[in-house]
Amino acid sequence: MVRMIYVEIKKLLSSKTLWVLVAGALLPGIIAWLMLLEHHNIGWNDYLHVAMFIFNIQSILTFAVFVSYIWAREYEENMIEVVLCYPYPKYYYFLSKLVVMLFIILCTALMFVFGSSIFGALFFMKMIPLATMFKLMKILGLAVVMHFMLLPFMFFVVMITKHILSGIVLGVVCMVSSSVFVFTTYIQYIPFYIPMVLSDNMFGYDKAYLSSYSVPWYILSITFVLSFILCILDLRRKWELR
Amino acid sequence: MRRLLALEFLKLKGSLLNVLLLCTIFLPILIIVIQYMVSKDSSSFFSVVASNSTVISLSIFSVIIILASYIVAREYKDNTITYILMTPNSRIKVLVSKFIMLFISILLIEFFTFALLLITGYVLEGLSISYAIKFLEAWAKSSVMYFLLTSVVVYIALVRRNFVSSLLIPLIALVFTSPFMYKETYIIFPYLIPIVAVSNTLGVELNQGSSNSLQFVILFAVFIVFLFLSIKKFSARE
Repeated sequence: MVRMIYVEIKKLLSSKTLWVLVAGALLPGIIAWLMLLEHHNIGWNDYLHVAMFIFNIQSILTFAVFVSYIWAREYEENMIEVVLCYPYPKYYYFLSKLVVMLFIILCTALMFVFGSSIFGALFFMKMIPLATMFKLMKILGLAVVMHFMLLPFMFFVVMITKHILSGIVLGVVCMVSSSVFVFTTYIQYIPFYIPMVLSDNMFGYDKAYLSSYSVPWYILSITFVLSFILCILDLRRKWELR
Repeated sequence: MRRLLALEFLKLKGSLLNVLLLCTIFLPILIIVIQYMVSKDSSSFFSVVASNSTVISLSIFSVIIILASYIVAREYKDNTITYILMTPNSRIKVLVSKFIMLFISILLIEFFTFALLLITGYVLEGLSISYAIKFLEAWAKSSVMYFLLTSVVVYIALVRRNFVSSLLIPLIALVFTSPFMYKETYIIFPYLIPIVAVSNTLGVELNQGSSNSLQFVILFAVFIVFLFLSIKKFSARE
């Protein structure tokens, strides 16, 4: 398993798709900085709230791109036959890719903290207060878990289509349609927007409607468990037929 | 030329993209209808469409990027470029046929989207002549504007020769910088111009950063520069 994770990381490091990660992590800070440039009476909390809002929306596409890439590249580059030659249980491939995705989310989150702190410091001309930093880390930690819980669903979509395009389209559709749902009450029930809604509320804002804190977590958990089971079942069905 | 154009459409037939094109037309409309149905305030269907025009524009432009990169990059991926270049057609003709095919596709996608929105509005609330005229204007304006941007995507696809990377570069740039459409500095990202123009035409002013003529001049300049670069790249003997 460790060897497979190592192989996945090596394959990933050799690709230029990593630039998407850099863009997804640093752009929210830059965009928030440029958007708030004309506003004067704002503090660190407002700035980080805007940056986090953009980060959560953009992350849907960022992670969808990575999931599509690390799963569908085996089919696109005709590597799947080579990969299947190795004597590992088939679900190991899925689990190793899931672990690699966790690393990717963690790296993106850390780069986001770094980028937002730098651009925030340029904006306010002072360093980020320690208490605000801890608050950001706490909210971001939960956002990492929430984004991770959405991954099996993305994997499942790419698995059944075996095409990189399907995952990218899923990411674009979810990201673009977020602006339609953002001010409605039922945004809290759509799994892809839950990280955005909960982060917004944890920052102390109520831009996105939230009636109960626990219901979105239940929805995310059900999405995670169901799509995880579907992925495993799909893998068993496909590879037993081979 | 007509034969090359027919060939381009034939290659598109039966690919996964057809499903995607249908999704792009129906999905934003479906989302807007849902929003109209569940909205508590008494806003009309056409005002809901106008306030969500950015969603329609972003989804249409995303599929145009996918389409443009696909029709160029697949020639390299499937190695059909060798056979195309063996035919007695000049390279410029081959490239121009791709651009014409893109223009026709954009016109059709936009036409079906706005026509379906108009029909849905007619079914829900009755016909509004003023909105029909606005939709017609938005259709014509956005079709031309989106087409002027395709040369950028085609050039990236010619340079990268890989479907995924040639698709991701413009798509990520578009989606990640889309918040700038609410700022007057949006003009520095030419691909946001059609989104702002459509929104302004439908009556929701995202910003008043620049005039119509300036928008067209910028897009035309982008088209000419990248068309020249694309022709140069495609004509280069390797």
